[in-house]
Amino acid sequence: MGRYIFYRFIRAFITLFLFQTTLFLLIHALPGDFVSTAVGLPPVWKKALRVYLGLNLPLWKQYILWMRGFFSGNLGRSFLFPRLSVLSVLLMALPKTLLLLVPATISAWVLGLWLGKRLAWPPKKSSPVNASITAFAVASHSSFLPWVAFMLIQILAIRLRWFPAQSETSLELWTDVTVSSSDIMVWMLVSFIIATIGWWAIGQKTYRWRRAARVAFKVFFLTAIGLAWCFSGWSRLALDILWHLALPFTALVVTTFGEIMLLTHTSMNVLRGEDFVLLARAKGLPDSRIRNGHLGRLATLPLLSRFMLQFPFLLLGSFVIEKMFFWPGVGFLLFLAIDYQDVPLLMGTLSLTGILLLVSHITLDIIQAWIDPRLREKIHG
Amino acid sequence: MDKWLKVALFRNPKGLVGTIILSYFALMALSHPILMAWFWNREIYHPMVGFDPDIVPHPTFPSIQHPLGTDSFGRDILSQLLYGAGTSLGVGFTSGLVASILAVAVGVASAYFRGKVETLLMGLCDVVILLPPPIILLIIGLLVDMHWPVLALFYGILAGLGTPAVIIKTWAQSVTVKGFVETAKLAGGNDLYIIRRHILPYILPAGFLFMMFTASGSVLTEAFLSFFGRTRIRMSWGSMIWFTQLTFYWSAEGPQWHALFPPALAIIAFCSAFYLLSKAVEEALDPMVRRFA
Repeated sequence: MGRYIFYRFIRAFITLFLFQTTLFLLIHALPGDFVSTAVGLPPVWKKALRVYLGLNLPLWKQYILWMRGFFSGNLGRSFLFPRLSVLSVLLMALPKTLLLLVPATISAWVLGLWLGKRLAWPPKKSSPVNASITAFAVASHSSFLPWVAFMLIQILAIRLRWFPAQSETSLELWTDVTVSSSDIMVWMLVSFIIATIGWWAIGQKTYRWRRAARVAFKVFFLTAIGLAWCFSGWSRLALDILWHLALPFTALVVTTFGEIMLLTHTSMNVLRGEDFVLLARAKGLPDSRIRNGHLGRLATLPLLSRFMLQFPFLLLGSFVIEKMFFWPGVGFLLFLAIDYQDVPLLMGTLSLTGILLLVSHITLDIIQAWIDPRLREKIHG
Repeated sequence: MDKWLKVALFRNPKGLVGTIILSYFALMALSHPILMAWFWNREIYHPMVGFDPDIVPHPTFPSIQHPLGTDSFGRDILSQLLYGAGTSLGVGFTSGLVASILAVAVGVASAYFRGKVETLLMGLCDVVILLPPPIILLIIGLLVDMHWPVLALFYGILAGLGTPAVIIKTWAQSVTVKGFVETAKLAGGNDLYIIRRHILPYILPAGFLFMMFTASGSVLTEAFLSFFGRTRIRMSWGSMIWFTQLTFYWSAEGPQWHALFPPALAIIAFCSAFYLLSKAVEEALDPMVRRFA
């Protein structure tokens, strides 16, 4: 296993190098540069600005500078925000994207797995409820995200006025607050992850307990986290962020849970006729035990490799949603950088996207190799 | 036609629904030039520059002259929808073909030749996986004029060389280690013959599967790029939705829900058709799934 992880990381490093080169070539093939987007500057100023930003250097020199900077963690300075380095701009935006992406992905998976298992077991003839849930999942899987976002804004934000449609905070609450919203978001993300892992772990530990005790333990755990937030003094700010998060989160979950549900349903159906299921039924186990303990575990395995296919779309989905809801995350920066040809910011955003994808692939490969020992033998690259 | 394809397209109920939806859209796309040539007045019904001077406040709700109503510029929505079907079909099938051909070629070549070829091609795939096609297309859109064939071509290349090529490689690997490939090699068959005769028949269904995935992805991407105004496509479902949400309240009769739903539902139906077809192919290939689903 150690050998496998070592080789996987070497491969990832080479890939990262090639990826950076590709990005550099692609972006420098663009016509014009940041200075040419500034209309109305006198030519002398333009020339001076080019020298100042380092755009007059030959391409190979820019390439070496960029690569050296990238691998030493220095992504250069953004043209649009001249006082900040690209890295700090990205680090400010990243918690916002992750706060949208991580809970939405986990919720979509939990919802999709739960519904998929429910639909597949106990086996029954097709009912109108099942058929309509499946049809809704197919439609959600293939619906157009900006349209869904627009509908949500029109109905829930403009008609009913339940949720705000824009940005991540309401101004009047944050006027004399010294802490930045990114910091609070990091803590929210951390507590979400702790809550998820804790919920799951309690379910594992208390498997043989009575149902009431199990539920009480989980409620106690969640209350503890909630109380910790109440005493931190940021609870109103956090609630404000959650209120703004509601619509983007809903849009992302609604458009991504469908595929997971359909896949779970299919892989449950494949396993349904296996002998171990028959044995479990013959032993007289209740349907829920067969569904969750016997079928569900095996059925989720093939879903992991599908995650690899789905992740870029999830990431893109969160970018589109950021653009639609003016949620100032990485996707918002990406559109800004493309519009103004802010090369360092664009390179930084795309590198960050690439790194996120790469990390998800490595994690997936390692998990798969851990589950399936045959994969460990086949090391290529 | 191969048996699995026939089963997937016509026998399987899911596949049949998919085929019917797609042929319906093909009919829509075909009917547009016919309607424009003989039945509709070009100046009123043109999808991009048409205008109906007889109706005073545009947009209008559905009526007999305009079955789906008109948008804020007085253009007929049905005409736009039919025109957009052509664009979407073109994008979907072109990119699907490009992606599946590339994925099969790369996957089979690296599984069959091994060694340096595999290292090189899989290294390429590893890099392409990190480039999400829609985002890269945003940048390529600044470089070239994004008409739909260009968009479909680039999407096909980026989507095909990514995950599909890697997955097809693992499928092809499981074929190349089989006895009959060894036998064919010993009998003196050359590489191209063995690939064409013994490996491709097992891989083509997977290629078809990824063609379906790519097609629905590319149609959504086209809509997404048109929605954000990053293409030179003059009329498509994505730009219809963009225009409607831009001018949503430009009307005395209240918000224009009538203009918002047709293109969005068309996208959903179109991509669902590809999804159903891909399911049908999976079921035709895997008798286990067909037996229990």
